[in-house]
Amino acid sequence: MAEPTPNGGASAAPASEPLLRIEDLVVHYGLGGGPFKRSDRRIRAVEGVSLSLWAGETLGLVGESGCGKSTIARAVVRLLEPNAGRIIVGGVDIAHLNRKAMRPVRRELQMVFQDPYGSLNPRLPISEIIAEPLKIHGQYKKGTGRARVEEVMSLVGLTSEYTKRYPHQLSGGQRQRVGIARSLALNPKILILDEPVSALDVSIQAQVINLLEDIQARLGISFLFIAHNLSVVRQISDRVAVMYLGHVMELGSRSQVYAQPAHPYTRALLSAAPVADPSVKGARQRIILKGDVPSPADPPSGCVFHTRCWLREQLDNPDRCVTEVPVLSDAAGTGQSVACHFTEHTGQAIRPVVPARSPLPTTAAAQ
Amino acid sequence: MTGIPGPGPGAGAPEEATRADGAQKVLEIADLTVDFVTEEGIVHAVDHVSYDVYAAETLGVVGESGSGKSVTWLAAMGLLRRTSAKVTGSVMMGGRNLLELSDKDLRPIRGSDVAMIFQDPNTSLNPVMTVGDQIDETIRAHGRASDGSAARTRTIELLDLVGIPDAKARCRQYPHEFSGGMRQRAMIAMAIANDPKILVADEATTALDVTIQAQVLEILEIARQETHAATILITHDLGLVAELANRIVVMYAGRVAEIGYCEEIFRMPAHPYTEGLMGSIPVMGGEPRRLQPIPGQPPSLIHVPSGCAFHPRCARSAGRSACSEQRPFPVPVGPDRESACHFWSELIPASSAAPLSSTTDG
Repeated sequence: MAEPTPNGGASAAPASEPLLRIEDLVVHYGLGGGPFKRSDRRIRAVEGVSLSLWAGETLGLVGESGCGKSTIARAVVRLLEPNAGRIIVGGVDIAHLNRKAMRPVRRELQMVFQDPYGSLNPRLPISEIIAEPLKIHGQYKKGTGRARVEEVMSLVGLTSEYTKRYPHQLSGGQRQRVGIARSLALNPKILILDEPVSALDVSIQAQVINLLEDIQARLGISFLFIAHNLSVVRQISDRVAVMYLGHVMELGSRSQVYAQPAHPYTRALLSAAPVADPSVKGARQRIILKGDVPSPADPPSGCVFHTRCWLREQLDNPDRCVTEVPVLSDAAGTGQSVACHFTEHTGQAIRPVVPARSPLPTTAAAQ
Repeated sequence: MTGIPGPGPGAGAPEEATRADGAQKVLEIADLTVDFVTEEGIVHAVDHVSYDVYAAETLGVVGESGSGKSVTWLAAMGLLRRTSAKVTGSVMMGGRNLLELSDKDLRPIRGSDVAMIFQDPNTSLNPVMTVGDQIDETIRAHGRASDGSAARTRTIELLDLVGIPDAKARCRQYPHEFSGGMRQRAMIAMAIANDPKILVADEATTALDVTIQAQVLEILEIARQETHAATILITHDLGLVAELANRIVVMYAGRVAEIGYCEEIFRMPAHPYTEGLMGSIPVMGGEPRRLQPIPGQPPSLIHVPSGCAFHPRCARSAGRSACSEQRPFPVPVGPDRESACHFWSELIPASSAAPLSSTTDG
């Protein structure tokens, strides 16, 4: 069995085998051409992604809409079947397992969805919603079943007065707690969290983030945490993968990705995210990318980011970006992998994205 | 003719048109209250809200869902008139109370003096009309162009300004042919078409991806510089406000929690709710610290807690009867700064709150 790495200790020597290993995953969606014509156009949602999730760690997956991050989540829990690649859990490739064979795997691998309104059955009371996975897996025993439901409810901070309530009687934050409680019922090793706090107000979002951190500290579960909010991902992740148009552009520890982003896309993304600190206003250099994200149905050749890349422009538009797909590699051997032909240039091109905090700002407005 | 008794010292001195630093007041919301009558009871969506808007400023209106930040402006623009909403108070602009104007008198103000940009450009653009025609229409409706071709010239100019490539051809396209970011740019072009005095951006970038949001915010800033309009940035995103706003109004449960300059509020909140919000957001610099969430849930707007609406969630209210018995109305706590907390002086030291006199000389 893999040794759980303590939360935050991603740099510690990892156990020999990750809990979850995704290898060269490819997921395409058909673009249905209507009843009378077949379409060959396909949405290339995930194009050869490899990631590992180690015991006890949180791997954050960030990127903008359409980058494929949620598709990865859905492929891993097998809500859809990948076109190619392997998804290895406990030594078994689950990429093409049938429903029956997936069943024992699902016990290890649970998912929490973004929308706490749509993902809970409105006709069931909370206790039934949480008991459901136990019942499906034949683990709801008379006598102990209810105790288990109450145990996971208290784990997520829901008192027993909620057992009889229905989803519509709960607030968004409480519903998300129910979603988390349900995912914990079977005592999984891995939680796949797809935008779990995006629909929540900030004050409630903070409660749920803290809850997730506590659960991980207590149970040693691994999280694959998917979100578009950069600061939320930074808060909770040990390692971070940045995705763009179906590819991982950069992968590294939290501090590597956020403090020394090496891919020009990561740099742009970080510089574009609003920072809730007026004292750094103006001190930050913002890279504003041109244009929109290209359609995943017709992704650019070579590096998928080349059509919007500021670095390529600075380097006088080298052809290599258009002709050759950059491989995600850890050239410097620091554990930070980047998929860019010109990584060595990223660092010098612009100043650090988040400069050291200035001492107490002198407010001109107050004078 | 506002029927509700005034809440005492509300939005500073109502008579003044300029602030101490010379900024011109362009709009004044005073004692605005919006109640929705529902089967479950009366929803107090906006509850005695008062604040001013100054020319060319970016005013951030922050709060979580249900805080009344948007409803305030829907009411001000007369967009709640054919609903169950009961609106009282006043919204003064150019010497007139917008709430008392007839629809006919309000029409030239809407879309011209005050323009709004909403979160979802899909529902704010007409899907069966080309983008160009819609902007032409806005221009002509307010008599800003003599004929169709003059309007079209202006439309192309505007689309160009908001960074839509090949504006001339894009004019002839329909909203569905635009991407989300492009649609929001078109909305901004439409909003600034008639040189508004106030541009209200209601969660205008919330639905957009970060890199597209950055583009749209840049356009908004260009639009503000072009029109010198005051920009009202209604958002739940403290990051956006920190980056763009000069001043901030923090709202909670339909009420103003505090008002002040952006830097000051972030440096030293004068209301425990603001303090709670700051503790709730993950910061981007340094080692992540554990978040300090506000306990509990936002209150129901039908059964608003007695006294201070925030008191059941407030750490500072423990054992203090004032918090649960008396409603605190915003009081001046410093230059151009207000707080609706009985115990604001515990949050901001006396030194930063001292020179009250400077707010009243004009």
